Amino acid sequence: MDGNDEQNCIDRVLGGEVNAFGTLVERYQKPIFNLMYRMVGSSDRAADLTQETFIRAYQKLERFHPGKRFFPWLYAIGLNLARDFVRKKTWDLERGPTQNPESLSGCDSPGDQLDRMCDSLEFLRLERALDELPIIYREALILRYHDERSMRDIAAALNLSVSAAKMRVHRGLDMLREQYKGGTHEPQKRSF
Amino acid sequence: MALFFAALLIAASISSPSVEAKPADQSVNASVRAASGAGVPEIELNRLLILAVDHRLEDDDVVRLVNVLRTVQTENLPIAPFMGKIEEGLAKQVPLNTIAAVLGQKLDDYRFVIKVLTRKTGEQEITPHDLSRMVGSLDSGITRDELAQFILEASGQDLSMLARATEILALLKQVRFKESLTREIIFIGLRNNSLTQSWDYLARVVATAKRRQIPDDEIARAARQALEASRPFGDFMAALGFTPRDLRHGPAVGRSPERNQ
Amino acid sequence: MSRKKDPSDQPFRDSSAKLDNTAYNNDEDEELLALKRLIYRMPDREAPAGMTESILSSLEPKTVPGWVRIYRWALRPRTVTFQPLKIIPSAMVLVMVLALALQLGPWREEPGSMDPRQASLIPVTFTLSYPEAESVSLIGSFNQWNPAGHKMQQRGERNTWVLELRLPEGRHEYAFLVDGKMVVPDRSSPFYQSDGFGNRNSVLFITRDEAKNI
Repeated sequence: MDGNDEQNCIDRVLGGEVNAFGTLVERYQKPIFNLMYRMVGSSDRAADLTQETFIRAYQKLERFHPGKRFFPWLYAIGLNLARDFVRKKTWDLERGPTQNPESLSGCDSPGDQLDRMCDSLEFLRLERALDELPIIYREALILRYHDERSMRDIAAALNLSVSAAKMRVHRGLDMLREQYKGGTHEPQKRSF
Repeated sequence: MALFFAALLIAASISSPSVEAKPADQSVNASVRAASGAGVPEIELNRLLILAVDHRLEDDDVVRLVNVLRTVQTENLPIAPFMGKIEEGLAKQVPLNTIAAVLGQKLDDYRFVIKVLTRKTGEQEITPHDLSRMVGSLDSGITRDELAQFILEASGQDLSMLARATEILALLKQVRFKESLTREIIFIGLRNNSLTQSWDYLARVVATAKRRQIPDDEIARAARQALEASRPFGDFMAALGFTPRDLRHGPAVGRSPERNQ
Repeated sequence: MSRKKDPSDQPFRDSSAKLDNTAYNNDEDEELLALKRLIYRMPDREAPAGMTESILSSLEPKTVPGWVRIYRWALRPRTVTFQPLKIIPSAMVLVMVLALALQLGPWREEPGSMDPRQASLIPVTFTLSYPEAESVSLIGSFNQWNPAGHKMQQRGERNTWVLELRLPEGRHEYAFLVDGKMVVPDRSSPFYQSDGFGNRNSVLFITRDEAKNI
């Protein structure tokens, strides 16, 4: 679905066709859900936040600029929602969300679809290392190397300039490598 | 910006009655058309329509605001201050009724000032900037009566200088400079035609001088002397002992922004 | 109206080439490459089943006025091949001409966009002490009172809100918008202007002449 199709889809939604929005939900629920999971570490919470993201985007749809790309806009909405949610929790900021006892350690929650991941220590280690990074650096890496987004999309999604986004990706990779080498044993302070 | 959006709307309303024409649609179209016909620049209409979309205004409210612009235009008043007030009100989430009321008040203010100026000088030209400056003093602590009296009593025919003077009158009152001294300074400047553009910064210098405990009399004397002899503003500052230093006074001006991150 | 290819528009493609034009030594190269590949291969979680239905079922059909939709249509980027009109059939000719002439730029001035006149602007630093605030934006006559793009940052031990800007000479009105709704004037400025809505805006005079910026 290229930009034009998306635009037509949005126009139809604005014309009153609710179901046309379903196309966009189908297309982007996975990356948004995964973003939420990274942010809050719980399937249920992530699902709620994902729903809220799409609902919020639907409400603001008239204000979405026709010339821009939908995913970064949607993503930015989701990221803000997640940050607000995280901020309101009384979690120990030092520990970070995925070390919250409610969230899984990867293998402990039944019903969670992470069995594959449990099998792969490598990915578990990666997830832990990513989780130690400040949020924006982590998201920059995911958007770049996992979702394969352009720098321009990444910049829009993270509300940065293109050069700042490039810096986050570059530094993020360095930081990730440090984590792999053992990093610091105290968890990183979270910066938003 | 969709520079031709208004044109599109107008085209739509002229040429296709079959367009899904809800009555509300038509009234927005019609009001935009009327405003454009009255001479409101399209760029301002577009700006207003963008705001309406951004702030999700009801059609009725859009029509109201467009009609205000049309009135402003037909009375030959500057559009910019009204657009600015609309933008400001929306950004501050002021209810539309209040914004409309404030716009109405502003219209009245403009009409009032023009009436006074006409009494003083008969038919004369004034730039929108200078007119807005004078009207602005009504929001800076000067009442209509004070303004009218000031304008009518002031000497000189230079309306630009007069606009500057009204602004100075308001600002010096805000920092509690002795009013009799303010009037002296202003009248000398007007009489000698020496209240030129660089004196725009008079109030700022006065405020800082007062913070440094320089007495009003001394400040006034320095200003009077400079204005009587039509000397540059810098001389006035030097007489007060100011050197080009960055004294913190309101937002810090002149420091280069540090690099972010 | 085809645009030149902008490298920032290119999605990242995993390859053995170095990324981002930075020089690494070979071992580092390998390490980073391995990391990138690992990130790429990281398994995704599936969103729970039924999410789409669940979302759609809570949505009301939109009733967007016709003129808003015309407006959005007008804003769409154009390519040389003209797109068929859906909304204004009988105005087609007029609109065709207009559409081809449309130079569609950003919705609003992108914050931080490069202005060739930047060099003639004067740097100003705005500060506000309001530790309880969650967000603060600067709004004023210089940015059409639009908070977007002028968010302030908290700095220092006392969590002072700070924003540095470059502004043209002259008189500016401004205020701080706290948490998106509360209007707070700048205590450090002695000059005010009533906004008519019950608040006072602060007033700032800037001149290029440093001496007068005392």
